[in-house]
Amino acid sequence: MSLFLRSTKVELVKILIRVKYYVLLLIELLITATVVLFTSANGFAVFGLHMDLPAIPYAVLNSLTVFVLPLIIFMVCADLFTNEIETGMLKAVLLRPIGRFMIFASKITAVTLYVFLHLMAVCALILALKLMLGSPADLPTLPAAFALSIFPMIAFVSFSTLICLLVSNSSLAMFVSMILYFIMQGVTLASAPVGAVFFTSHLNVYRMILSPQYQSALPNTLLLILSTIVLTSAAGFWLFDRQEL
Amino acid sequence: MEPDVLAVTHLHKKYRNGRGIEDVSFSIRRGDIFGLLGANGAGKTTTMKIITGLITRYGGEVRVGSALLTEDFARALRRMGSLVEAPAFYGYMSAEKNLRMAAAYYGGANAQIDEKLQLVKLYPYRKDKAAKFSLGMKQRLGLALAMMGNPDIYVLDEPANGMDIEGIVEIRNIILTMAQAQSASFLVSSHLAAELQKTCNRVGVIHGGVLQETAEMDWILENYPSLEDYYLRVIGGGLGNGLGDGLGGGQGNGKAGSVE
Repeated sequence: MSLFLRSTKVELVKILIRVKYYVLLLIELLITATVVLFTSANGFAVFGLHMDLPAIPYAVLNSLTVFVLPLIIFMVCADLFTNEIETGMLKAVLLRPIGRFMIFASKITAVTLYVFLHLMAVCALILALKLMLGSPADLPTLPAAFALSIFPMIAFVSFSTLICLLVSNSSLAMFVSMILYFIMQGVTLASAPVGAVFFTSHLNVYRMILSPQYQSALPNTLLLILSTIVLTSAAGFWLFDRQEL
Repeated sequence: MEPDVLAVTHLHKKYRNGRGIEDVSFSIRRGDIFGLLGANGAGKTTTMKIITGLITRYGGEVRVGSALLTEDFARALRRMGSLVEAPAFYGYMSAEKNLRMAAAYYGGANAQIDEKLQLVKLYPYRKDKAAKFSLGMKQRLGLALAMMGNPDIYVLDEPANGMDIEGIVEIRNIILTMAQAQSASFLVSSHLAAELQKTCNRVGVIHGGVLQETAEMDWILENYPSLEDYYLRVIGGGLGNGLGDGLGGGQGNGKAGSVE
């Protein structure tokens, strides 16, 4: 196994060994199951908008990508970056025979994998419940929508990493990340054309890929997400490489 | 001729507050236990942080065997085990899990875990969370972590810090045994002259960020009552009570010199 894979495994273990991250996943699955089962019996209304069972998986995915996963990403990045720098735990890795770029890339990959685990777990649960309820599984569109949603989440990971390396306290890093996210979402709500320059306006990119009517906007959106990832990762690594513990 | 296990040349690092190190050069041969003796703030930890790659912006050169730290970082660090300042570990993991995490970077080092835990006498506590360890146990865990991968050179910054007398003796014995049995080399820093006197075969005195002098321990003890007296003579008799005037007169026999 290459050093990068071994290092990524170490970072992933650091996430998965903490009980809070299991509890978050469990709560997420419980809420999903409750919503799906409740909808199958009664239908479901959100802000006066009635939803039926076929629409629910996409509503769940939307709430995941807009609310739940960003918060989880802020939390994990604060733990893997800010907290490790703050407590000196980062030395445990920096003193090992591995370059800083590989450490940085391993951490980002581990957070991305953890987020992907969330998406896949929720998707698997929805598919299982749909099968149990005798509803059409919506294959392969549903799993594809969940899997494709990882792209904007990678931008979230690199964005959050940058904030975590700019701020020296892990609680403050989470707070600043959340505030900036709310500001970006606020700008999008106030003015969609202005907000469109933020990657946070394109969290439902799966729609563009899976629905022919949106595909003309797809290259620009993917380019925006990709450039966010490249810019924030480059700035993040520059800061990470300058860390002197 | 076998290259030095560690060679540092003209190391230079200045912090914004004006402190740091200046033109530090020395080398360590296989089997050497080299002590870096200096007061708090003399530049010992800065020197060690540069050698271990924790500080990345500095002047000068660090070579581990034939690997230059700035060009072949992974190969250089592969041969080095370090304990710099407070031991770095994950408090929310057990001692064993911490070593398992470290072993991942060496490939196949899992087999060493039990041996290292036994060596630092933490085996009975291997399943306990590291955060709950006493100061001495944390230091031992740091030492076990430094041993992962069986390095050629150990860089240990105040390794006996926070230890009781038994712990200090155990650490010293571990260092002496490994230097003799495995020809491992050590760079050990301390502000306690008596401790370095019992452990090291060579000493460098660092003062005000400058490596003032290096000398063989045998030569020091032939010419001075103790390492402490030698140290006080080198730094200019800092106590002003005559203790530092020295008995041997310094560098006459070629076994002590300013720096290499």
